[in-house]
Amino acid sequence: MKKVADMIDVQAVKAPTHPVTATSGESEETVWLDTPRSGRDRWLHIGAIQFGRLGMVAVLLAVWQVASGRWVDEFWISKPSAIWDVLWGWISRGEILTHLEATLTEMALGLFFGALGGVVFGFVLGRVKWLAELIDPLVTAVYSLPKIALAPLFILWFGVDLLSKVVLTAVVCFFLVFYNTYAGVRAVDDDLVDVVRVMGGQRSDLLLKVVLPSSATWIYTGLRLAVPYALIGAVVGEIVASNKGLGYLLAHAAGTFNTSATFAALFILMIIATFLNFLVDWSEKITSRRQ
Amino acid sequence: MPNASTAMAPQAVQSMAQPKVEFQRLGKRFHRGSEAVTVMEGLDLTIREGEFVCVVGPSGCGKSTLLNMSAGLMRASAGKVLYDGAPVPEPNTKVGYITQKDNLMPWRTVKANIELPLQIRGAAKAEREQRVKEMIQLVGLAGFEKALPSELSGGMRKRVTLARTLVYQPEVIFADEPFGALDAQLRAIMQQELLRIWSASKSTVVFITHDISEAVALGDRVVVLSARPSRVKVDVPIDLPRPRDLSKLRFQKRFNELNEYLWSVLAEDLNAGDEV
Repeated sequence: MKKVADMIDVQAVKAPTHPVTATSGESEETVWLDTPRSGRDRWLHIGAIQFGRLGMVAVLLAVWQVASGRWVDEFWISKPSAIWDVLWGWISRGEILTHLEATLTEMALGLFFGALGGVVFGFVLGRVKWLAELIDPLVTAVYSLPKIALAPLFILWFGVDLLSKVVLTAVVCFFLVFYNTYAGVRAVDDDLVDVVRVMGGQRSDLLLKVVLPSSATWIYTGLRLAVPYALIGAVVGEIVASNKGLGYLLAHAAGTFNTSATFAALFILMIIATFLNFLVDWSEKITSRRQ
Repeated sequence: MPNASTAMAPQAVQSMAQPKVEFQRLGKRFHRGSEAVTVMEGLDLTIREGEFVCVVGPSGCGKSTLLNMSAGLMRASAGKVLYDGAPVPEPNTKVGYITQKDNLMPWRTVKANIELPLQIRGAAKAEREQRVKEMIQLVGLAGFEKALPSELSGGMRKRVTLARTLVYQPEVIFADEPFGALDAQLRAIMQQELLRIWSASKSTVVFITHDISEAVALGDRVVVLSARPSRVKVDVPIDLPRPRDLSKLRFQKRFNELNEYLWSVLAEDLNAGDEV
């Protein structure tokens, strides 16, 4: 499975081998490391940066608000106050909860089943070399297919409800977790396996005490990559065909030429994606500290 | 060439101890693409219980292959490997195996690494705690129980490997150039440690090295292998008294005689070994 291994290396570069600071905290962290500041100066510095960021967003929104209807037709770019009205409407009517719940459920279920399948499949193919060799071309072919292109098929098969999106999300996540798990299991040091065999280790010992812990970082990398893709899978599935969810909200708004609602839906997606990134960075900090 | 009758060569001493590991007419052939390489042919060697046997030979003569076959990790192409008089089990779980590499589990702490063989063998928790504690004391790693291998120096990692092997009291310890990667000072310290531990445990040791003076300093016997296809060229008993103080050994006339003699035997094959 040479080709497979090549693909994995690309992803392996992103493996959490050393603690990476979250993007949001990077600027003050680096400045602080280069020029050590005393306690009060440091807080002033952090405060100034945060204030500056807020100011930047405020200026951007203000320019947008002013430009809209004056220099650019409001039809194309809407305006922040109108977007806020739509957002607030969704929130106050509680409508947003239905959509959020739908998208997050699809994401969570898809991620769970996709990751589970990826880990199991990766383990089996990683350990059973002839099987890996046998189905390598098949796996590579399916992997090469843009998974998003499967959305219409899944909707045909599983309907416009939850199931079709869960399946699409699961397929997208499956490959990320599978390839990383597979690479991790293949990367297990044979000498460690031999050492444990001479110690009297049975098959189960080899799996639980050598293969699993040594491929854990790889599996984790796969999971980390899969999280943002789970959002993509769920939203694209909804855009193609659905009656609820953030993707539906987005597609419906754009379909009815409602620019404000389109921006509002994008804004919610941005918030969710940022939050997911934060979660991933945070879990990475926790795990890298443990290593 | 059977060379053991040189004036310098000591006469073989018949030991009364039981044979522990026997290699009989052992052969090993590897296939590299279409060509076959015969690493070993007709190798005969007997290792008796409680002995410290050092094996030296030119590079590529299959020293590591010999150990892999003794540990039951590799099959012989010809001949037999006997352990306690019976064909060697695959793998041979009665032996301990130390390689050039540390082979520690990087995700386990020092303590957890040493504990691993006991866990695998299903020892009770209290016994495990006790044994691991003793081992950590023995190899001088007290205070580093919670460290991960990546936080240790090369010498300390070697001590962990040693402790992990000794903790389950293997009958025979196979060591494949265990101190090869260490600097000279550290190697001297580890060699002395190994002798101390060996004399306390009285297990059998098969020690592979390419360093003749190391072999003479440590072993009861030094076995020199020929270039490929390898067999036993000479088997020299080392009649230096024990316990040995390794730092003073090189001032002893006998130590230097043995060294010189073994060098001359090995040198005949050094060039031949490179050609293959």
